[in-house]
Amino acid sequence: MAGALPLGEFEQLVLLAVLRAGEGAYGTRILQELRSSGGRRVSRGALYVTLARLEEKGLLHSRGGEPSHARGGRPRRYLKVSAPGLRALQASRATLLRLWAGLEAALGKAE
Amino acid sequence: MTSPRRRPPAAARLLAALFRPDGNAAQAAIGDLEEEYAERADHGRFRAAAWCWAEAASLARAFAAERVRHWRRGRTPAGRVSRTGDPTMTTLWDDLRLAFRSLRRQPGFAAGVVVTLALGIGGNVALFSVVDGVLLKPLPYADPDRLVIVWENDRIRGTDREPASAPDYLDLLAQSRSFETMAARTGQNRTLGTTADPVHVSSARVSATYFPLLGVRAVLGRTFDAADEQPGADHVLVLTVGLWRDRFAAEPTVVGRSVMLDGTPATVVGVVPDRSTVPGLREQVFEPLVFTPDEQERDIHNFRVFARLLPGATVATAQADASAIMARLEKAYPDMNEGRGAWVRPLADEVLGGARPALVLLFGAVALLLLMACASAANLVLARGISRQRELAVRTSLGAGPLRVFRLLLTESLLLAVLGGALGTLLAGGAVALVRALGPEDLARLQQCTVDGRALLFALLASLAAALVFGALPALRGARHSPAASLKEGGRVAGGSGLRARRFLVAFELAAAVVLVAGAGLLVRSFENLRRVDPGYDPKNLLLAHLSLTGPSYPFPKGWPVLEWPAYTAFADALRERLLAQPGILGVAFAHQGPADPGWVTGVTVEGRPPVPEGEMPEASYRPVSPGYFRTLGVPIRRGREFARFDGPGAPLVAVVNEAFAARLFPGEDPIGRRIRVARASREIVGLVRDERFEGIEAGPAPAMYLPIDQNPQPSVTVAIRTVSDPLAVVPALRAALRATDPTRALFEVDSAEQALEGSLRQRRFVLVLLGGFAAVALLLAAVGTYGVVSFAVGERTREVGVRLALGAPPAHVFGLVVRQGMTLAAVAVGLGGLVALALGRVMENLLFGVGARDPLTLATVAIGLLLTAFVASALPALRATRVDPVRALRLE
Repeated sequence: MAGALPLGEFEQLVLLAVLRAGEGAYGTRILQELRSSGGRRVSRGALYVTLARLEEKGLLHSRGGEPSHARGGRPRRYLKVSAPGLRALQASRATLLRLWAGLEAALGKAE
Repeated sequence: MTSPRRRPPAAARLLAALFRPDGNAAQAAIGDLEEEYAERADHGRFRAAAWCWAEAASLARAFAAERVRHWRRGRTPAGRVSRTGDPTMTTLWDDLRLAFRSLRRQPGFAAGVVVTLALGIGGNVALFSVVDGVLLKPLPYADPDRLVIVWENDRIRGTDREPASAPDYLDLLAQSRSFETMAARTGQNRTLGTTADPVHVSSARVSATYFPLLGVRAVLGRTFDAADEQPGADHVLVLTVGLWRDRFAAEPTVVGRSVMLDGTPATVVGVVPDRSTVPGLREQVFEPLVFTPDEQERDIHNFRVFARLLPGATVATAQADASAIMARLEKAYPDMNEGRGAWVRPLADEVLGGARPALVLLFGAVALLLLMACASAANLVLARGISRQRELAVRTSLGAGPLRVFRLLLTESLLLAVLGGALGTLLAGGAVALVRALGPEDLARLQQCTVDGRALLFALLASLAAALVFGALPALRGARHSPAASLKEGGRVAGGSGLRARRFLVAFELAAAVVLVAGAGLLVRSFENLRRVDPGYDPKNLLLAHLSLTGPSYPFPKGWPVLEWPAYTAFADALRERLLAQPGILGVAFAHQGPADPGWVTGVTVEGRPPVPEGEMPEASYRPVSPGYFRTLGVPIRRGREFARFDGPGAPLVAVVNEAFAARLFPGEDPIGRRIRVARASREIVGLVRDERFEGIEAGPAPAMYLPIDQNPQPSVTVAIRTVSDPLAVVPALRAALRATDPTRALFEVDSAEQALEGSLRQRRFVLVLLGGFAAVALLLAAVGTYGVVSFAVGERTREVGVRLALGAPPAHVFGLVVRQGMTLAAVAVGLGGLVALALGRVMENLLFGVGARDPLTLATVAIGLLLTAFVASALPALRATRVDPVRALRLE
């Protein structure tokens, strides 16, 4: 596994949203992605705090864009999932799939 | 809005940025917000603004939580390293360090602001502690909101707050549908203990429901039950914890012990907490209530009635219920209950309501003082801001945005306010102790007031509010400033000095000082007026003491009226003789009530006049006194004679009346020799005396009739002793004489009449001293503020003054020029303050005596005083201006 710490659920969601937003992923796009396909109400503050944390852990890379007038002179910050980030996502997925395996019947009953 | 682009509300931006960490990530977050806002604003600005506020709040919340998390871990937030790369991005912690360093460079300034704020905040915290402890904290009973007191009132005599009679109480108890339980209580004085060391105690007889009604349980033993209330039941009592500690060394074996109460044995069955005594009452001992035959009369009004509302019942429904019952009783017993109704009042209002006007007034005054302190602090900060313009300009040109400067300046104010608040809280501890020492004894719960956790929270909030109030204006000014202007002009900015803002602040201070000083002035005049009131007797060298003649050795005669009581006469004669044998004692007299005790009133008719209808019968205070009473107290006899030894039992019944009585019942006639009928006996008026102010010196004289105490004995006795010198010096002689006469009696409320009279002024003195203190601080702040702003204006105009002097203007002219500036400001401010004082006078009306709330003399004096203060404060800098050296002034560039 990459890194000692497994990913938290929200961290996973954020990393996946960054991947889905693709090239040119920045705060607003990622938030839209989370809110539309994540299926839950995500707080703006939580997103930015998590982005900063993931970047600090080295799971995300960032680069600054051009400052624009509409943004009060503050440049966009484009984000990309790093190689360790991809590995962490894969590890999480593997863990989840192992745990899910064989439980379909049990969960089906509950429906 | 003509903004070239659509930007979110500035305040929302500020909110989002408030706790943001350093680094470009957080900048980008705010940029994202702005960008999305701009898009949304095209579809409706209002909705976009609402959206922006919500999102900004989300950012602020998350950033703040992140900061707390990092701070807990002892780390600085991510991105701290980027400080070198981006000098504008510092954290809150850095702001604090920066502010601290900047304040340390100017300790005088910092100390000035901190002390000013400490005075304001300290005063507020102290008064908050008192107001909270006395008025706001709930009474210490279960569900205190449901506790009420049920008074009777009398619409014919126009009285309220009258105790109920036992039959009325029992009827209310049986018929009411609003009360869960009711309890009756009546107080009395008792002597506790044996001949060795008797002590006077305040006792109350209470129904067995009393303790459950309050929700108070015995800490030891039990309270009362229905069996204790049966006639002939064993005499039992419970002690309060206070008395148990003082007299019984808190021994647990006290339960079951037999003690002597007024000379008869009674068994202690329990110990109850001190809060069993309702605030404002004094009982140390409780006994079960067994109604005596007298008390079962419907016209004997002896009982306070407490009640607990049923859940869901309101005071209003209970009032309607009780009124309906009283109306039925009035119909059923017209001769005894005519005009009688009920008044249901929340217990909290009853015991705490009396202190409310004075405390609310003081709290308002101290809040105004805090505003003044904020204005002073803002003034200092503004003055300092001018000398910092260069520093701020440098910061701005290095890339600090307006928001950043605003944040730094506000952090400095916050730091000052918190320091001021901390110092103020320390001061408040001392101030509360002072208030407790000064406060009137009858101010319920005052002695329990301390600066507690609630007060600390209040101090914190007051400090933060103060920081916003005094810090916002200078911070906004600092943030608005353009760097170019400051750097270009060599640090001297024309018109940017904030003089206008500072003038406004000083004007506010002066106006507020007028309001506070005028209030204090009105109280001083009231106090002086009260001290000038002649109480009607001579309080100098007069000792007053009280004792009660109850218990088996003093069986009070049965029946009514009681016209003789040999046990009393024997006791009083023996005590008088022993006292008169002592050196230093000029005279001794006995009375039922002391000269400052209103006692009770009773109806009176003049014989030989047509009968007056029931309910219109005149009433007068009923005052049994001994021979020599008027001589001993120094009450002048206007006509006729005073009582003599021969006016005893069996002698013709006589009375002495006062001038108010004569004016009321015998206008233009001579009362001497006329006969009146009072308390079912006919008496001849033999003397006319001057009015004693027994209803308190604030009340006017009231009609009174004095009766020979030997013909109207009473179990509670006041001893009045006229002494040669210090009255308290004869107290040991009095105690010795009493011990020799009857060792089972204890004295209580032994005091000189002067002290007693002063005591009645304690609440006024208390309010006066506090408000006077606030006014003095206000005056000082206003004077310092005026001085500061005028000096500053002079400094700014040094060049102009130099030119004027160089051109030959006489110094007097320059002096006038400067002073006029200060005085114009002061005149406007004092005028406005005077108007506010006029408008606010109404709230003080019930605290005034002999002076109107809009007393022109007081207001004029205050206005002149403040103008003089402003004159002195402006004259000092003006004098300096006349000594300006023109050459140096012109060279100043």
